[in-house]
Amino acid sequence: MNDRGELLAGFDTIARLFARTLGPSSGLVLNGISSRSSETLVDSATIARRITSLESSSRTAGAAILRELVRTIGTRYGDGGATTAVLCRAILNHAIRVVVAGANPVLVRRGIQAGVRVARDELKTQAAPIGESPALVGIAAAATGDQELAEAIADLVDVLGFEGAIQIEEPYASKARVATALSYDFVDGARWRARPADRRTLGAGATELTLFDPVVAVVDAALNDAAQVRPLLEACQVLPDRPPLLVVAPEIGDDALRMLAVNDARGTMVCVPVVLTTARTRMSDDFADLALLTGAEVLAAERGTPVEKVRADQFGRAARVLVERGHLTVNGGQGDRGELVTSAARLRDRARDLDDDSAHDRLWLRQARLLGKVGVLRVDAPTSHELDARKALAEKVVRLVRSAVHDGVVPGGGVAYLDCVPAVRGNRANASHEDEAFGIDAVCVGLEAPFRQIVRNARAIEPDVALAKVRELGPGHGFDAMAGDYIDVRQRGIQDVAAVAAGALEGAGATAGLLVSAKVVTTRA
Amino acid sequence: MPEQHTWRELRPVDLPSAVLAVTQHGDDLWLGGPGGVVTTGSTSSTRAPLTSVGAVRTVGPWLIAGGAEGLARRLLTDPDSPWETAEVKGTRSPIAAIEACPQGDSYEDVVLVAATLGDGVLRSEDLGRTWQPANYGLEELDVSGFAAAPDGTLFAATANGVFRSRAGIRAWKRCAGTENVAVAAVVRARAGQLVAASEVGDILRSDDDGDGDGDGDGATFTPAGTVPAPVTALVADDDTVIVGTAGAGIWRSLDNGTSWQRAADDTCARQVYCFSRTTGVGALRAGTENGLATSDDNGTTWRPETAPSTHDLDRVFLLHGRPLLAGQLSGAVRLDADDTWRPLTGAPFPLTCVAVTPDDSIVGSGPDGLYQWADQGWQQVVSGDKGQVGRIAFRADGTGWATHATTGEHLLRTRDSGATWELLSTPFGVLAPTAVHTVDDVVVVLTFDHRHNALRVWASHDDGTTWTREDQPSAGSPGLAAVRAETERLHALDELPGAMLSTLRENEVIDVVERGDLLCVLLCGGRVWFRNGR
Repeated sequence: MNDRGELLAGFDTIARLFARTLGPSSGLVLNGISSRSSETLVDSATIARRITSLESSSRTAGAAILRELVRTIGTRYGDGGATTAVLCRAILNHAIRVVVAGANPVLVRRGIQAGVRVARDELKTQAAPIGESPALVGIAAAATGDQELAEAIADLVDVLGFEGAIQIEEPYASKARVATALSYDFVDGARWRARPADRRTLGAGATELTLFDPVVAVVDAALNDAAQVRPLLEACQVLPDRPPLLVVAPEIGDDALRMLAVNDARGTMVCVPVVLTTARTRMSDDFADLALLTGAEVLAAERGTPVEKVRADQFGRAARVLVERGHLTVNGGQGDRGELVTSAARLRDRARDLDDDSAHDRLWLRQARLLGKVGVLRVDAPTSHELDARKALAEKVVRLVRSAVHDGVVPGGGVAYLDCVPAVRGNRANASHEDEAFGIDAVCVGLEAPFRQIVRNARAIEPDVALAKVRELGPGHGFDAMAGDYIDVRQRGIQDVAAVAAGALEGAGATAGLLVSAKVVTTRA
Repeated sequence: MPEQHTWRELRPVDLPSAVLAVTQHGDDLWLGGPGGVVTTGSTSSTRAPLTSVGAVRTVGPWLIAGGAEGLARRLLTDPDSPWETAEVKGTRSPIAAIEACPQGDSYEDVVLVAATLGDGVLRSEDLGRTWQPANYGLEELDVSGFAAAPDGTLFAATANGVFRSRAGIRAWKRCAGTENVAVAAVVRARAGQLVAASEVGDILRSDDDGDGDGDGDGATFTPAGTVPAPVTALVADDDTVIVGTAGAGIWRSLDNGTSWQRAADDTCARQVYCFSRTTGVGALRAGTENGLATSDDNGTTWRPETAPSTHDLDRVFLLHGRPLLAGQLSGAVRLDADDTWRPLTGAPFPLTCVAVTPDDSIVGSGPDGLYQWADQGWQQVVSGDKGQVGRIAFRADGTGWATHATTGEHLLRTRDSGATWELLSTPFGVLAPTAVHTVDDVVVVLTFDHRHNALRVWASHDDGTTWTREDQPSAGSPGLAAVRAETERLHALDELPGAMLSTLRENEVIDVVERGDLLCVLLCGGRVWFRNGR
């Protein structure tokens, strides 16, 4: 076998493993870790991580191509890895056959690209908005097999919407940790990581302090001297009804704290100093957001607004502020709503352009916080390993369900792909060359593959028989692998996220096109 | 001297008092009103740590009540159990309604929610011991009531529409058709129908359990009918929707809110606060400005029902040698020579502060200013905000001091027993004084900082012109002397008759006043004992 053959063999080896995990009656993949232990793998993303080498470098290279494809799809959409592998394998196998028979691989690749475009557009027309929360639960549960987690995430996404951000945290430390404990909540307002600058602020035994109608001084500079604080007090003192003063800064020194505490103790005004505890590199962003939300001006010498020259109109206002040991939550900020929405949209646009997950998540959280659309999901598990796995699963499902809300859903069980076949086949006539039409044929074969694989995994009926039956029943009909009967899949609630379905197909088409047209394969010996 | 050394219990105050909330536990009714919670049963009337109680509800053996000061609960299976003040996070607004949303079969498996007038919805998962805000999605924080659907969905009536929350009650979504409508009440009528009533009397209806298109993302209410007064309460069964109004009594609709007829005999009151549909005789009850009313024919006719008074008379004074009782919402009543209680009509409302001057006139304060009452009635002596007084103290020579209700930046002083007042600046800061006393020639003002649990004592030796703060009050300090004087005033209880003492519990004495040989004790439940000699 030549190098390309070896590469494709490696690709096929791992693709067959992924295929076994597709559908509700999918099988387990047993991974032998050592001579004494093994683990069961149920999802394509984990399989992709575990299988790092095959018997030859060329095969390993083939496996790596599919691994990377599956990982990319899984990271971007939270699901669809196995579907991608099945689609890609089927398209590639057909394409390779026609190329071996003499077709021009470049034209075949072009045909694959054309077929994928048509199918993608067809999937878009099939996409329907996801209805009420139970449908979201169905999507999430199908991806996780964890009903409790699915219900929590579905409710969070349903309420927060596409713009929402969900912070996944571990539960509060407790001696009586329940192994499967899971809780969630919505952040009422905008919350930052912060702490009271003075431990006496909260008072003995108290864990929080609520300020009603406070003025907010947003100071992006260390407050070390009493002289820096005095102008804040003087500016606040002239305000009607002398509202509580919340001072937020990156650092507040002892002298400044003493000045605030003395005035607070005298009853001159209620003074609450708070320091943000976010990373210093991100703090300026947080101060800008806090100022935007409350209608304040950021006080910083480099901005031309030194704290020493503060005016009362540079303070922000909020309906209430909750100060806790780990957080500052602002509710009812008096910032301009239009500016908030515009700024949030700008942050979303920037986030979309980012490949770095952590930078993307950070921007997404900022825009969600400005819009007041942040939820908190606290997951727990008996061991730290399981906890990490559950958190990762939760992150994945959040992405998936958010995609469902944004892009809608298509019939599941491979039916959406099947229903694309007529449109793709109809596009064959537009092919400029017969070899290009072969590429379109390959896509048609690929579009049938997920349905066939789900039926095959169910082991109840021959895939060809099932395919003939659902074609007879018409669009929207599929095979219920669990019940073993033919159904209208949408009516039964079997749905796939449209973005995942389209993304999987595009990824599969691109990779299959790449492999079929590759002339030379180089690997490290 | 036949009356010397004699104690006697005065006849109860039988003024009409408002019933703001009603619930039933077994055969007993529990009523919420201006003065707290009272019961028709035999359970001890331990004083609730609440006033203006607008919501009462039983959950299993627990009675949960919400009022101006927050929430509290009490175990009903133990007659001696005290009220427990709930830990409430992030609110200072009064409670208007409480609803229980079952999450399982046990009464303990329930999410309790409380509506606040200003701070949205509070949520409790521990039977009312602790409460946290659950306002996500609410656009308006004035919430006046709830309606629960069998599937666990809860609807909230707010000052800007109806909102709905699914099981768990963590977040809210607006119901369509209720934008910019100040909704006073919402109720689930016959299966699948919701009726909402606005503060101006408009009735809205949703025929689909608040979910207009069945997609779970909201609801569609449409206008149905109107009633000729602001609506305050709603109740419904399969056939009838009944509204209580502010000023126009009770109205009924037999077509789910489209047309309305006034209840045939609702002479009980024009102002209705709440309804309660309970089991047994008199299945439908209404809380009104005059007390409790009952209907045996599903709201067609109503009759007054005897119930304990819910007045908030919680301060006792001696005026011309006879007891005078006062409460923030119930005003002031005095005992006349014929031993009947008569209200001093025209008092400021709410009566935030009241005192009897050394020359036997009364000063009282409300939002509009400070008033003085003599035999001819109430006369305003200080107008506007500066006359809104929180605490008053007089010295025997007629000099008096009145601290502001909301700020410590100034106080009022009088030299003529309250006839005229002058405004003095004070250094107490933003915290309103919690007490003012005069001991010998020293005036003492106390402020309390709840955040730091810190009491601050201020003393003046020149009748309030200048003040000094006692950072660390010593044993002989005027501040402590004032506190001690207050304590000693209660020592008069030692002289109460044994029979009376044996019935007293620690928290049953509400107020005591002593003047010369006269001593008057106000007990929980509105009982008053009077001693007119030593």
